[in-house]
Amino acid sequence: MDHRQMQEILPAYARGAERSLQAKRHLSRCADCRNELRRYETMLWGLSELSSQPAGDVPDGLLASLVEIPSRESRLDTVRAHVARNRKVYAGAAAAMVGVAGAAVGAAVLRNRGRTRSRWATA
Amino acid sequence: MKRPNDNRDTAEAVSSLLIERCRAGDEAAWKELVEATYRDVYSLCLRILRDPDDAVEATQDAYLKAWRGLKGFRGDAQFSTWLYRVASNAAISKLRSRKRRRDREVGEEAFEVLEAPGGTEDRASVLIDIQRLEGALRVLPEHYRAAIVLRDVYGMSIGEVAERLGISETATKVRVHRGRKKLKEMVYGSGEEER
Repeated sequence: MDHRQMQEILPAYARGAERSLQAKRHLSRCADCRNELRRYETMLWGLSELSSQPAGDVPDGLLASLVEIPSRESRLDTVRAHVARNRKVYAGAAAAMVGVAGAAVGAAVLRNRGRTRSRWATA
Repeated sequence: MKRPNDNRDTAEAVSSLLIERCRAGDEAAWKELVEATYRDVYSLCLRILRDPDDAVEATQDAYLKAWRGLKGFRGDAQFSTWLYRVASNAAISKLRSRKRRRDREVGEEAFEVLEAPGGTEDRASVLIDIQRLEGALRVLPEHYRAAIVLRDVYGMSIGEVAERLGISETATKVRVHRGRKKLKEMVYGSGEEER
């Protein structure tokens, strides 16, 4: 295994993969690759350590917004349950409203036509 | 998957009794569970998303899904593992919607090379400053960062990372490989000039 090939596999080698005899042999005689390997191993160790470190300050208000999720959901559930229980009533009311609106529009159209005809008759 | 391990309350500290109480709708238990876990979940989201506002939204999405999904949590996985899965899904989903919104950001982030420490043979050059590493991770291009955070920070398997990112395992391996190389260059320098 030549130097370039070894350099290419080092990121995976550092995590335990690609540990072939040729790779081990190259490492035993190449100080550069041994150094690079140490760097990758240290970096991977450092990355794994990050999981126990905070990535930044937690913004104010986040905790409160998370804590109130159950009560918010419970209010939503109440509304959903109410709508589900009264679906027929709401559907009927919506149909009635559509009917009333349709009738109003129809009446307005008829009134408009009547005015137009009387204007023609006068002319 | 590896979990946080420090002195303060963590996701690991969540007991099955606490989860049972949450399932039963006990809001005091939920508060206890959130207090024990939200810093870690926020950190995971922030590491993937980098933007604190996006991380807050992803954390809120994650806990909303966790609350709704607690009844389905069978306890065959560690609670912390399950919660991190939910959180990483929320963060990746946010990442995708942000990509759609700000398409120009994809792969075009500033790639900042941090000043490399001493020479190759200097043993101290191998030592790593965790804050420096966190800083390098923040400026790593987005598509590498998500893969590295899930794989190398939170210890997910290649399969799990691929599933979350919605890409093949081969593509995931390539991202992790290239991400590690870039991150190493950012932390220690490329090393090419030393040979």
